[in-house]
Amino acid sequence: MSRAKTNQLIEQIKIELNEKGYDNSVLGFGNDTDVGYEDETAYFEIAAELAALRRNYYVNSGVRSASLGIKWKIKKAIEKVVGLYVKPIVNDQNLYNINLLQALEKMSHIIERQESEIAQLRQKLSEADENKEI
Amino acid sequence: MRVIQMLPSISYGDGVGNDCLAIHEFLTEAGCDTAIYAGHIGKGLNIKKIFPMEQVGAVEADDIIIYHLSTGNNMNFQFGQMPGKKILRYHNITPGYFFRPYSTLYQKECDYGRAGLRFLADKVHYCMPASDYNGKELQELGYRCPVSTVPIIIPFKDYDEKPDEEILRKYDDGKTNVIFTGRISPNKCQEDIIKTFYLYKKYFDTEARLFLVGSSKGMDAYCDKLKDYVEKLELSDVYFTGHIPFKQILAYYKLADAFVCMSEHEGFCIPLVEAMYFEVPIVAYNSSAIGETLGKSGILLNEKDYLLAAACIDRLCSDEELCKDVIAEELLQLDKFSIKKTQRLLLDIIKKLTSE
Repeated sequence: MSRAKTNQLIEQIKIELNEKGYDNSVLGFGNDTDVGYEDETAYFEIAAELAALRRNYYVNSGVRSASLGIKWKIKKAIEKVVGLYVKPIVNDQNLYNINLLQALEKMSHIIERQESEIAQLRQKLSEADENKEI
Repeated sequence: MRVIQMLPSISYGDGVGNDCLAIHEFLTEAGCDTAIYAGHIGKGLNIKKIFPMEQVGAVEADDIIIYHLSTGNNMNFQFGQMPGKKILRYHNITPGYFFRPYSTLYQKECDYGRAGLRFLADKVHYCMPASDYNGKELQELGYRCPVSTVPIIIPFKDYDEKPDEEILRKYDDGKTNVIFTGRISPNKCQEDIIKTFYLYKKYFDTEARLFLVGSSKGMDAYCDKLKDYVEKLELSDVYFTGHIPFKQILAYYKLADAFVCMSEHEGFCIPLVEAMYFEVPIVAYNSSAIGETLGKSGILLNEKDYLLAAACIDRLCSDEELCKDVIAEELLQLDKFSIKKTQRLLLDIIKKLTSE
């Protein structure tokens, strides 16, 4: 059954429903107003990292050594015990670091762009002044 | 050269995990030196194939890493800093705002995932999204590497297992069974399924049942609100199954007369393909990747009109010819997700990367 046919069927059903006068209203679920949300995606779309912060922004909550010795096992066990508490904090910190880094990057781009616009305007002004003098 | 698969967490029965295991099987059959490394390994999995992330060892420049991204995790950032040829298998991340009224933790996790996704934009060599919808999202985020859609791999052979007989006995009584499978989650808009079912019962079939099959883990506030909503509507015959064994899920598919999906965000939507496999006619709202997964099959609604959705369920349950046509188209669409086709796509990508 093609999509065109199902669309035709839907239209036909709509007419039938209209003719029968069925009431479409249903009690609301209650969150229709509280789902409004600022566009976080746009916030995250800020371009890459500032070089100075790039090396340090990321906090690793895991045990670093890759050896399989007893020390590593103990560390791993401790990590598991405290992980429940520590990991969400580290995740929050990492999220904050990234937000900060990206915001700074965006600001630096805006400043860069405005600097070049100012330079262009200055040049135009001086050219206009020169023409005036002539 | 090794082909490594990495993911933050792998558990029995989860879609991303199944995809990862199926890729592992392909690669092993193709003679690749391959292994899976996961941050968290759930119970009931074949441990021989899967290792803790700590054991990944040194990655060489010619090694291929396939990273499955579907959630917020530190591993998203670690992957970007690893050597080797990096393939991003993007399963999509639910936008955080869906969870805002119910779970700050989930919202933050999703936002963190999107931050990771943005971070990886210039750090991967190839992208393998599970749908064109996911691929488009990657391109919008600034990914400039080659992007090829490789549908999620669904282990259809598992569906031939015997369904739970008790469930079959209990509900196979001639009454209409409407189902939706998938975790209880605000992006899946189970409240809209309930609204549709309310109107369906009111105008078309007072005896019908609705089964919302899926775990509500972590989404208790939303699930409680759904249950309250059912009570407020004075609606009977709505069943929240919670997390149930696979055999029981199969039984619900076997019992189903119609599958209703009102999701507003899906990166692929495996349950739609499952419904196709079990020859259950589908009524779905056209959002995100749903239209793409359905193709020409099912009844796709471009507007969230609950009465219209209810009438479509009624039509499918009462018009045998229409139901047969819809199922026939679903079976044609199902062929697009055949394991062999996906296998070919995947191996072509691996060959391309190894020859570079």
